[in-house]
Amino acid sequence: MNIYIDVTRLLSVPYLTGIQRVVREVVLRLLDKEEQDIVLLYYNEFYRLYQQVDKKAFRLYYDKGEGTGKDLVTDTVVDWKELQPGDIFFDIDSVWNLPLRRSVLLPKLKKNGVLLAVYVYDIIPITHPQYCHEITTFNFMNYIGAYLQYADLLIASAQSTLDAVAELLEQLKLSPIPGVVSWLGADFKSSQEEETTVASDAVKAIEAGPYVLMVGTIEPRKNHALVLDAFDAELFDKGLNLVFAGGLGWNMQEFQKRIDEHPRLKKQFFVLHGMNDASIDYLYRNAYCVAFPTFNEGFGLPIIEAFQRGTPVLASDIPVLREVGGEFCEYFDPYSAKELKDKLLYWIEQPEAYQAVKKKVSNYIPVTWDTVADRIWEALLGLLPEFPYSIPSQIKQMVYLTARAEDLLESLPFVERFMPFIQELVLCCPDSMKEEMEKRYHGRFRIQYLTDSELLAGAELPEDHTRRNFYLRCLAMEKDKLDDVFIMSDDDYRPLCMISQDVFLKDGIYQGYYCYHMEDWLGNQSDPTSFDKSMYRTVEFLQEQGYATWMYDSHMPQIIDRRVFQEALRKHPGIERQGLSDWSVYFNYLSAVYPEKLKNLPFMTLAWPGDHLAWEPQVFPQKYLFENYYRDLYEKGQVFEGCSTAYYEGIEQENINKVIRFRSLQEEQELGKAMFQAYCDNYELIYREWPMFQICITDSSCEIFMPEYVGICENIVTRIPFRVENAKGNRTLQMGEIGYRILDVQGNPLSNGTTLEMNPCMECFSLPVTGIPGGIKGILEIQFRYGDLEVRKCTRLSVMRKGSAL
Amino acid sequence: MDNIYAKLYDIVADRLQEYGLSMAGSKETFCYSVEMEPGICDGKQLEKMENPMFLEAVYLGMLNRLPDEGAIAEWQYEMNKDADKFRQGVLNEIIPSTEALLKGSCFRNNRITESRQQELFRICVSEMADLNQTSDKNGQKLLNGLYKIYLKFPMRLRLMVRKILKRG
Repeated sequence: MNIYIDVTRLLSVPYLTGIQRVVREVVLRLLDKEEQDIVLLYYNEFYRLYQQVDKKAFRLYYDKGEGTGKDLVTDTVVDWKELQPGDIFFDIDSVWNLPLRRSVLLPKLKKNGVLLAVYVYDIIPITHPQYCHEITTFNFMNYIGAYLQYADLLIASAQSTLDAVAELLEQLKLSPIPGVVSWLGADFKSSQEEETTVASDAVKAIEAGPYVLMVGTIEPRKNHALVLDAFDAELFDKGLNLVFAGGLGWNMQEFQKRIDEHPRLKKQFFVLHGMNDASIDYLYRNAYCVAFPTFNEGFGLPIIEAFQRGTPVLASDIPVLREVGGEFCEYFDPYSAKELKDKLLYWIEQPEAYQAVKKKVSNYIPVTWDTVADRIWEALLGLLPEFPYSIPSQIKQMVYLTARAEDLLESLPFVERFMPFIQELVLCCPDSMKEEMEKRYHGRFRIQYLTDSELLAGAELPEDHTRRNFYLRCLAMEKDKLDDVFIMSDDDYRPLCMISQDVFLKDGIYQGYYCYHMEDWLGNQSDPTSFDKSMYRTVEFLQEQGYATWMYDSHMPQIIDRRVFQEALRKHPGIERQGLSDWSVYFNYLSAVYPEKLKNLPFMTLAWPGDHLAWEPQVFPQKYLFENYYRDLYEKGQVFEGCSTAYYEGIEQENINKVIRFRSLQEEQELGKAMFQAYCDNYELIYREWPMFQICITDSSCEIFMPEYVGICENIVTRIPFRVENAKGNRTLQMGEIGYRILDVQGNPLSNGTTLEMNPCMECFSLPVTGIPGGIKGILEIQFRYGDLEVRKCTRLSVMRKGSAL
Repeated sequence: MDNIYAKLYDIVADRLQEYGLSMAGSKETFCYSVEMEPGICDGKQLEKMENPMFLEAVYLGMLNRLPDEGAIAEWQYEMNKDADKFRQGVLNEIIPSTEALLKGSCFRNNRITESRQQELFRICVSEMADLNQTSDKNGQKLLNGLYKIYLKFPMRLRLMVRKILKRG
């Protein structure tokens, strides 16, 4: 489990505001707790990616004041796709100002099963937008709108903020989100760049006489005008001075004029900008009291900062300040200058009353940042529920769903040899296959059977292949013949080498192997197979439930905890008839509910896809432990030509050769993909536009849009992604045809290309274009036919030699 | 999900209206920005937008900000023109701008303007026609050669070349 924290704003701002000071205090303390689990992120706007922040340098800079802020960002890129189920993404900074909008980022993280936590300081831009800069409001709406929909945890500095959020959730008809109050600390560290000496302006203000202090940006919400009104009425004449410590904020031009023209400015009225922490501390300690007449706050840090220095506070009578100040504050109506003035006059005229308040404040026990960080840490860990089941130390059972005795009998010797920890099998199979297996199998495994008649008990078996499989597996999960934890497999998955139990279960964590992001699955574009359709149904189900959408149909054995599978079936009654993917439903459910118990890993299957042109892989295995056996691949002219389909003693060496052959095909695919990406990046660099490939179909016409030129790799299949806009929508059942030719610059064909059927209802279509021997410039002609409509479009083509840079 | 953002917009707009204030950016632009990938402006959704929203959306997408008062005033006159001309004008201005370049922004699914290469080609051809070049074929060859050299220029120099050619 990792906790990712975006500290871009902290690293970017020229001086620390309230929020950035909080971020600094909290992050430093979280690093103290579990540094290895924390990943600090910096968003690089130009390259549109996250880079990792050097934690050691971060500590030195923000804690000790050593080093420079420029050296904190490393070259290590953190791709959001790498975040795993059970990882936590924690936003604590003012990230609404970043170009990476949360409305875009959070759904992607959620899709990956990442848990989302956010520190909400306040929602003033929503509840009181009149006090905020319009651009801040615009950006904040995006940020809070995203978190209200996707957050797993809200942490706020005050209960009032959580209450305001709950009210907003209700107004938007969204589900409540668990919330925790952490408070804010009063023991800020000094800034590393600021001097420890008190500014001379602050000293002058203090020496001028007793003063009321206001700390914070001068902006409409903070209500500085009310305090100045109270002082102008009588307080200046009573010998009390006024100090504003803070920069001028937005929309204060008129107030600025009032300040500049004030007759008591620099005599009894002081406005101090750019005060360092030492100066602020000095101002607090020597103040008569602090005034805090704000109209709205998320917390009210000046209150506890004043209390920590033993300084009384007069604060607005609003719920959040009542919560923070408690009995230690004196309160007044923020719309009444007279009330504020009267309270101060009372103290001036009744010094014993003032002293009583000061004595009360001296008993205030401030919350420390250590306490705040502890609360936040516990809240984050609380996102990970405890796993309620015990995990066995030994896995001994393998469970097959099969109807093909021949295939299973060919695969079992591989399992017997290479998976020594497996002792027994459970076969879910037709009744007739049980008899055949009992006659023909003579290996070392003890076999138990769950026949169709036993599983179905009279229920009807769905006809469709994937619906049938899912239904049978769901039924099998209820049978006690299955161990609590077992390896699930299909009859054509064969281990290639010695496999240890660690491949499936390591240090008490289940290893789950994914091969795709299911949302991107196109499958057989012209004619979706039963498998493709089950993927479409599964992604719809997972999205509806808010689960991640990794595809775990990796065509290799995987570990299943039957109790968790049963839990999923109970939580979603009736899904057994929906023809979903058992692998993907199970693992995405596991990652959603018990994320700490799953480690997500890229799959390790040879020959998936069997035909490397069938679909474009997203994940390329770096290791191969299993083969997805296709008999066709062993035929003449195919990749495993000459290799044995059956097990024999010493087959390990042949398996290595098979991996080498398949890997070279895969490397070609990777190269083709990389070179097409390089072409797109280069196109963007030149034109500031992404190369667009699009087909638009209307009732009476169709049109192809192509970029100015296309770059593909020689002799390799490059998949060109087309967007399809079909005005007919789903009303048509007619298939279209898309094809291509490669021509030379005179228009003579160099390659006849290919023509494929395509479903024009699909929003995306991937056209596989095979590059010819390279280094040539030519023309790529795309043809599209749909009913009576036919269109051709050409563009310049550059066929690049393998490995050449664009 | 878009409905939540639209509802949020309405809530805030209503509150601002109580104080006689208005929102920065239209609701349509805000809802469009919800799906906006950072630094990428997707032309697919812009086509159906009215001119003022189109301007806001391109600024947000390419420059990550709304147009300021000065920019709005500058485009105000153009906004009432023909939609196609206005949009081409906006994209021709913003896409190659230094601000967009420094932010690494890019435009996708551009069916509004022809790309820079075509534009440069046209500019060059019209210039060369004025110089009475011998034949189109020779002119084409020369142009291709010049274009190859142009591609090797650093971006700032390319922008300068375009500006010079545009001014004529």
